[in-house]
Amino acid sequence: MSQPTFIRVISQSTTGALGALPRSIVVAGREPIVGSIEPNTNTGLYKITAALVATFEEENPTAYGFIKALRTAFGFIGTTEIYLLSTQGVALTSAMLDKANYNPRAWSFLNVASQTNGLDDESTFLADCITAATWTTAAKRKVFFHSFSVEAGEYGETLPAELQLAGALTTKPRTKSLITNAKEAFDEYTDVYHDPLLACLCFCLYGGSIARSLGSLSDAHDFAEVDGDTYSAAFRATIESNSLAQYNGAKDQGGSKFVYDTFLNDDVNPPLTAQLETIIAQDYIDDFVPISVRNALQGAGRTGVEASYKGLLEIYTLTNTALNTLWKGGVIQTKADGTADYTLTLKTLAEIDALNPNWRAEGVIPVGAIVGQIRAYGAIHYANILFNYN
Amino acid sequence: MTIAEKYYAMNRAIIDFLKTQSLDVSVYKYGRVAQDIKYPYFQSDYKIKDGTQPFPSKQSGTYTEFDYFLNYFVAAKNENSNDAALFTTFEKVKEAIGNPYYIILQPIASVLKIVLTPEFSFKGGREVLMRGLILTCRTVCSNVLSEVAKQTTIENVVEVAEGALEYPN
Repeated sequence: MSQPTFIRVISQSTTGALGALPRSIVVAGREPIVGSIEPNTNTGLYKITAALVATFEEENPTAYGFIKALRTAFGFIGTTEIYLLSTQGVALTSAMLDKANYNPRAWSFLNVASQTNGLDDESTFLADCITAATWTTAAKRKVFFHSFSVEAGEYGETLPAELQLAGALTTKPRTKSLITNAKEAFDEYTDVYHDPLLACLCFCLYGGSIARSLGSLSDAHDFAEVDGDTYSAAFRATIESNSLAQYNGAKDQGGSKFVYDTFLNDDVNPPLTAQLETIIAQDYIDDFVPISVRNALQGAGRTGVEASYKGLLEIYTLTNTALNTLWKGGVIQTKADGTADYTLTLKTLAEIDALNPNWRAEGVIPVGAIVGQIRAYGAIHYANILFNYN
Repeated sequence: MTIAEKYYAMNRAIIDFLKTQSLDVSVYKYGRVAQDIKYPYFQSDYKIKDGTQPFPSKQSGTYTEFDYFLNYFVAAKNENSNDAALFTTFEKVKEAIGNPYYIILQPIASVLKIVLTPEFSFKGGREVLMRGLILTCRTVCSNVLSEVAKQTTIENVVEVAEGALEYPN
């Protein structure tokens, strides 16, 4: 059974050079940023804290996309910080993202935002999203998410080719796309469109009394800035058949809405990709285990281990200890018998020699000498729970 | 030192002691067939009693218990001679091993027990007498095999740990 506490655990983990993977979010957009807030020289990112939101809005009154993102992020929970990446009016490029990734461990989530999230700027918004989705590979340990606005209308709604099966965005397994028309009047003449994924991610990562899953948008629904969409049943089916996320229209007794699923984009339906929460857990494990092993050795003043079966046993023990710690934190699932749902196997000497017969003499232990199978955290979504709608 | 190196070091320690005493007595290694040799002389041997343990390494070595045999051979002039002085050299060596002032083998191995073998004689062309010492010793011997294993880097350790992280669908 899944643990409900994982996302809270990683939200509270200490960050730092050898700490846990940080959960920070980068919001990229084309709106220029001016004023007193300066970007970091190395990364080009504007670091915004709660204390700077008012200043940002005052100095950039028409940066509607960024203002909306900041209000969403800081509106209810109080995110500790969020990073903005402004292209200053031009298209987003992978070079900009590479620069923003100057410190790869500084942030984990990438978001693209504009005033209408693609409604009035479909070509440029989707182009930036494709750039971001292409850049966000598994090796970078990051996740790209965005909302795309489609207006509900009496003549029916359509999805762009990029967001249909086999499209440029649905084929990116590290991308999460949500379709919505939820909007709000910024002023008398200006509407801005919500990004419920940003709201829900902030809620799950930075607080909330339940925060058990990104699927539980009913938690995030408490944001003043966030509301559900008003699509027809036919368009809901279209969104679902393209493996994309949406509000599912069902409500609990409190009138709160849910995201239909939190599987990452896939070019087949039903999607075969992992849940967003599972990907977060896997990234966390991939980060925690090597750092835990490294810290244990360096903390003991060691520069390595002996290139022998004895040294290999030491690595096995350190890896197993780290995985056990993660299981206790809820990052790894639990089997029906109450034990951790992972296996870690040390190959025999003959099997390791088959990888490289000279490994002891060369002083390099072959990768693959230890093999594991880990079932990372999987969320229980409210959508899977039967509610009493009486 | 390996056990073999320690054996020869013990022989050398006895030879050096004999020299300091200005005694012209040879110490032969085991297996030496005594032919045309000059009496008196010593002949030594060793036997490992316990020399294994799990997970030895170059740093730890192997804890080893062994017996060191030191036999002393001397020829009497005739059957009626007074042999009192014949074993003086043997006694000096025995005392130098056990006497706290000398303890000539201490840097090489800890001598736990000293046992004297019975004296015997046999008659051939001349009467040869022998006395022997059995020294029960303990020491730590270095290992040769552990030289093969080199130290890895921490980066290699981290790569192996990372390589073990697989997620089934």
